[in-house]
Amino acid sequence: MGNGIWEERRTTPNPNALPKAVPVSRIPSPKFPPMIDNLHEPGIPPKVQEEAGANAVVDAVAVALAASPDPFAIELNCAGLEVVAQTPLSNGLPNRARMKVFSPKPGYTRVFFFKKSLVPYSRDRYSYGGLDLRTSTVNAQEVAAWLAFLTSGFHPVKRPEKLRRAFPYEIPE
Amino acid sequence: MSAPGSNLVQKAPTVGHRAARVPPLVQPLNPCELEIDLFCKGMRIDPSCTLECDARFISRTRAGLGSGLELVIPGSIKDVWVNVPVEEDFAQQSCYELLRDQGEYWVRDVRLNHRYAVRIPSEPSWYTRLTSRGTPMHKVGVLQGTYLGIYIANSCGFWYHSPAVNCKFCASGLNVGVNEMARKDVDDVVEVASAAKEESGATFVHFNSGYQTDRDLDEAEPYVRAVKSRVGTLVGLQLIPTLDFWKYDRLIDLGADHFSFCYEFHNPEYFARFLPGKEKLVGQKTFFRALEYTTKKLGKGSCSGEIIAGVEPLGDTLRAIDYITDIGAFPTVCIFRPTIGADMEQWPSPRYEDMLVVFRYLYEACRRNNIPIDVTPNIEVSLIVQPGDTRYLAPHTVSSSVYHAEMALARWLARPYFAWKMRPKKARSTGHGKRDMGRTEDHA
Repeated sequence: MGNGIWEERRTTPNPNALPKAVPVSRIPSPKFPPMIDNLHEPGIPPKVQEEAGANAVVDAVAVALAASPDPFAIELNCAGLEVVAQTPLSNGLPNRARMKVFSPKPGYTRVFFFKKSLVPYSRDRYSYGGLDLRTSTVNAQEVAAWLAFLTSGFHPVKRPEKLRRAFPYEIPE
Repeated sequence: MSAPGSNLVQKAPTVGHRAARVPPLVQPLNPCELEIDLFCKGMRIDPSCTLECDARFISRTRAGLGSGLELVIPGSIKDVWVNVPVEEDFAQQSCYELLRDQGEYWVRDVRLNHRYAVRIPSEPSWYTRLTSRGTPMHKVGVLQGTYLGIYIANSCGFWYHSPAVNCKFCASGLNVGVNEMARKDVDDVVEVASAAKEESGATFVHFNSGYQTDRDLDEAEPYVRAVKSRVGTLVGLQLIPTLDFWKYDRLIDLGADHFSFCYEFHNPEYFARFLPGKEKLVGQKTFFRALEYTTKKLGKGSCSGEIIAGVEPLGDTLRAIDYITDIGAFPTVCIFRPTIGADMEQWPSPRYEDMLVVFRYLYEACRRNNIPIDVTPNIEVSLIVQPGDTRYLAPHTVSSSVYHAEMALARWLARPYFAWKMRPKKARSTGHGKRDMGRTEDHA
């Protein structure tokens, strides 16, 4: 019985992955990443630039968003950089996958994968785990894997290799 | 078939043998049947609803079953509480939708345009208050039906093994830090339990914990002591079991009224496959021995074996119900819910027809073993189909009528006993103290 999906934890080769790891400091900051669907909305470009300027990991995410063929949106009124997948799922349902990149204190970056509640008044967030980074550099392939996880709607086979499913940290909204 | 208690707005068909032959889909459902179908199919929420004003705050805590919308299905035998899945993908494709019409809430079955009257329990005023320490009360505990559910410990150790050995249906490791406090302070718990008792009429506080490296019962002790001595409610515990039975004796001395044991699957192969932590670090037999021991200590109908229906073969679920009721415990049967983020998120939700078989069987097993159902005052559990709810599925026989009459009498006779049990009182002093389980500070 079963479809065996939960048993798999393999790393799928990502055709969208950037070629190799590059120190974040060497990646030029994008001015207007083209694959952010709501970039035309007031407040989004300054939000991206402000977050990318303050956190090198966010900067790397912004670069990866610019290079990705998949569409994303940015949440405006929230802590950190919150990326929302826009690629519809194969079952016809909207993609609810989100990723929040934030810094709880200098030198620490947390990447949190989640879905928001469908109930209009609920503020519940459904965790799919996260990453606790203690470095200012990030492997570009890792970032591409995060985005692929988002685009898949958090399909188990697309889980990033270092994902910590139990992620017991306070996550700002 | 429709049974007494259907709250359908349309005229309900005659109940009887002729009605029983009609295919179930064209019949309105009775409250328990509707409860089962809502667990299986979930529900969409129509924009006409004003839940932000009318409903409880939704918060997924513990294993994830409480992530749905609480509603009450009124009925003639009893009102049925159900936590309806609304967040999961399968719920988005449900034939049921919640709508609001002229100030009333209805669950509409779009297949046949049946409408069932339902009630949305309002949010307790204490949910939005802070404890003296400044903790939002809803982050300490939440009502799940009419009882207060509190996840006492810092998530579940199974999630932190390398590799993780968490139960495959579970989401508890995903919640802590996101939706609830990592660790509950005893004084916070007392304040929240007091508010739930005084303002919401809660009679039962249920403590639950994940795997705590065989210190599960020790961790629970200060909470049991504090609630029994400073609040005075019935207290239940759902912890990873141990073969150190003296720890159960100690908790019973402190006032614990109920233990439940989530062994989930009766079939040992399913137990091993889907519960790798419980298989590797605890063992299915430990659950059985602890359930048998505590049931013997506390009496028939006091403890429960908790299983999940809809994953292992139906025959195994029925065997589990037989085992649990034969030893004098009551079965707590959860309909499998593929909760968001869990390893089994992609699994299908169970079929209604299969679950109906399970709960009809559950009723018969409880009746056959004379297990007390719905005797304790005001304990309505929204996460499961309670044994008492299955009275709607009872056949119209003399033996069923006798059983119901016995339960009604037991309910009446037990009132003074439960009134006494729900008075704050200090723990009994027994010889178990010399094998104390760590912290024993008395807040009384």
